[in-house]
Amino acid sequence: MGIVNVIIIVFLIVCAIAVARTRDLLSAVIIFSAYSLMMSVLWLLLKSPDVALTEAAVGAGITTILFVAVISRTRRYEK
Amino acid sequence: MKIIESIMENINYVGAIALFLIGLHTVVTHRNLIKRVLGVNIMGTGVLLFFTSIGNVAGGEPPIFIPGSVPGIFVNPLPSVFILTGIVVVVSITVYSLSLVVRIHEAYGTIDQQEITEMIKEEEYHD
Amino acid sequence: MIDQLPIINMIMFLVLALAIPFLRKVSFRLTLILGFVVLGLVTVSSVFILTDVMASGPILYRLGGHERLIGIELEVDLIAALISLFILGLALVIYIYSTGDATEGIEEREYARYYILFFILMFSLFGMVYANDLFNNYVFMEIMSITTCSIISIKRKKDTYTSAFRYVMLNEIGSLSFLFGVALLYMATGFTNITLLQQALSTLWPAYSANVIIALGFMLVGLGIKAAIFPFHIWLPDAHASAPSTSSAILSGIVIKIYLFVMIKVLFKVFGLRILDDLNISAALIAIGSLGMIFGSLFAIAQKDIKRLLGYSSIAQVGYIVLGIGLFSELGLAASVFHIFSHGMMKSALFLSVGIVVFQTKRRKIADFAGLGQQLPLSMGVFGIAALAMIGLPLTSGFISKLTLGVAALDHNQGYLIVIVILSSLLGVIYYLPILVSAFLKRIPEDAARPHLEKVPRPMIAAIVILALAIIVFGVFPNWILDIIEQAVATLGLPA
Repeated sequence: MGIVNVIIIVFLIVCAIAVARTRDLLSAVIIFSAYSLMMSVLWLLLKSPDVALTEAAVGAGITTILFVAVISRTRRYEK
Repeated sequence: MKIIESIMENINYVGAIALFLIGLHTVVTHRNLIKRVLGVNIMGTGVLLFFTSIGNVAGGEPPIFIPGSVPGIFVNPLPSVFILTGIVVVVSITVYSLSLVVRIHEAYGTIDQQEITEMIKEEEYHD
Repeated sequence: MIDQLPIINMIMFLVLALAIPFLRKVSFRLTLILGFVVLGLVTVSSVFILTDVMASGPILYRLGGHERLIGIELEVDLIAALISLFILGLALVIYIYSTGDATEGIEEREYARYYILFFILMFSLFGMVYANDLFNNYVFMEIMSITTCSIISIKRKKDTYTSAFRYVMLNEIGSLSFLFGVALLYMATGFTNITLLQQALSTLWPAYSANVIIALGFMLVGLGIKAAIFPFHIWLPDAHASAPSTSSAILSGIVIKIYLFVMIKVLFKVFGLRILDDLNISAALIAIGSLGMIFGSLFAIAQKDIKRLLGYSSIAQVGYIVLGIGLFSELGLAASVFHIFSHGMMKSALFLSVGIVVFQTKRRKIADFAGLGQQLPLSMGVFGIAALAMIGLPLTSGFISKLTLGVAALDHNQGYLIVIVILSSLLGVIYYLPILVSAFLKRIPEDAARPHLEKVPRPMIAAIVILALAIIVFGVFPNWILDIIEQAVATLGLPA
């Protein structure tokens, strides 16, 4: 489990920084969705399958849809 | 080498704190309102990851009792309950603040904090 | 039966909030009456709770009968019973006010939504006061941050949206910091229940000092952001200025105070004096409180908008309360709790009377207050009484809280703090007195264009008169309430 865990954490941190740095909001949201999915895998590794299910449905699903909807009503690129 | 070893051992805690800080940085410094909401989400997952890592037991099993089987060592189920609540809370905050973002865009035509502040200042100047 | 009253109180608010959307279709008047009935019933049951707690000690209630380790526990001790009655008293007055005219700027179809939010807010306030579990406190905090932000942004104006957005972001930073602190304590002890945590921390403190110190820091910063303690106050003036008057009164009078109460709970019931003394938290709190008292007043002097001025003055008053907590003595804490009560009344009176003035004249610049004293004697009179109480004139509740605070500082051998209290009061004179002087003494020429006045509904007048009377009653007969407060504070185990 050790090395997989480390790889996932590194991936998460890279994703988080990428979300903060990307100028295109839509890509940022897509990266955030990948981040949430990876987070749910990590929760599966940490033996909490119920949380993993919720995170996959809520974090990667509903939150992404909401963000995309809001971006479609506002503006896509950050200045 | 000892430092690296201890980091590897506690990688989940280190990761959780790193995510919390990245999220905090995003919320505080970014001009774009949607980015700020994303930052809150990252912060939230950081804290929740910290909670799960506390409940994890080396070699534990998911806390699901199957009748007829011999129960092994379970991981602590209480943090999972906290996290389930936490996820729902963070989502509801996200929904509320995104609705505010839409309203702000309708009112000001922009979602950039600095532009909004300038517009407010200009309005006050004209008053 | 009596030990189930706390949860019944909370459920009543929640059920009413959920029933309003259906009741509205029948009759909106019925909704208002029902809201009044519920507030009255909860007040009666809270009085019962208070008398029972005074007679036979704290009430414990476990939801579903689960044991402490995994269950949800409500504990009502004397101080919680007092605070809940304070919330109810203010909420009743604000409710009466809001039935007269649902506050400026809210559209008519939003009234029902406003009351839904109001009652969910009451539910979460009671939850925070009663909960004996840090994680439950966090959950109620989040309910509260959504509802408080919503009662700001319910007014359909541009600036409410931006200030509500800033408020929700800072609130979220605050609550997540608090949750991080809870996680660190959970890591060290394995509990989130306050009673169990206190027992565990007193033995574990030397072994897990890093966890405890970081947790304390995170929790204090989180609560500090939410209670607008000085360096974290930036959200408050905007939020107060743009919100409808009733919302400002709720925000400044009740919501901030509850976070301060949670801070008292966290400091003295979770960590305990030994840890706090080892870390010298007392000096830090005194310093932050004094800075807030001075800077809040200084910022207030520069304001042109009356509601922003009141917002900055709230920051200064929060400073007094933090200072009282920071003295770590029974009298200091009693002064803080008394000031929580008296500032709640004074600031609500100020916001609500300003609300009436804005309702009647549609103006809110301080310069527009000139000569209003003759036109609107009653609302400006209440404003005057509350403003003088804020300055600390004798025979008002503000004087008693400042006096108690000064005595507590002397007892603590920190007499120089009295200088800061007096300095802050003098600064208060600088920003409140000119308003009063220009309102009452300035002659406006007969031919000057007077603002057109709207007729004020009676409930609004009744509400502010009740508040003004309460300020004076608390100022003339403070002993009965101070006695109960001292009795309540004595249960926390502070040095006398």
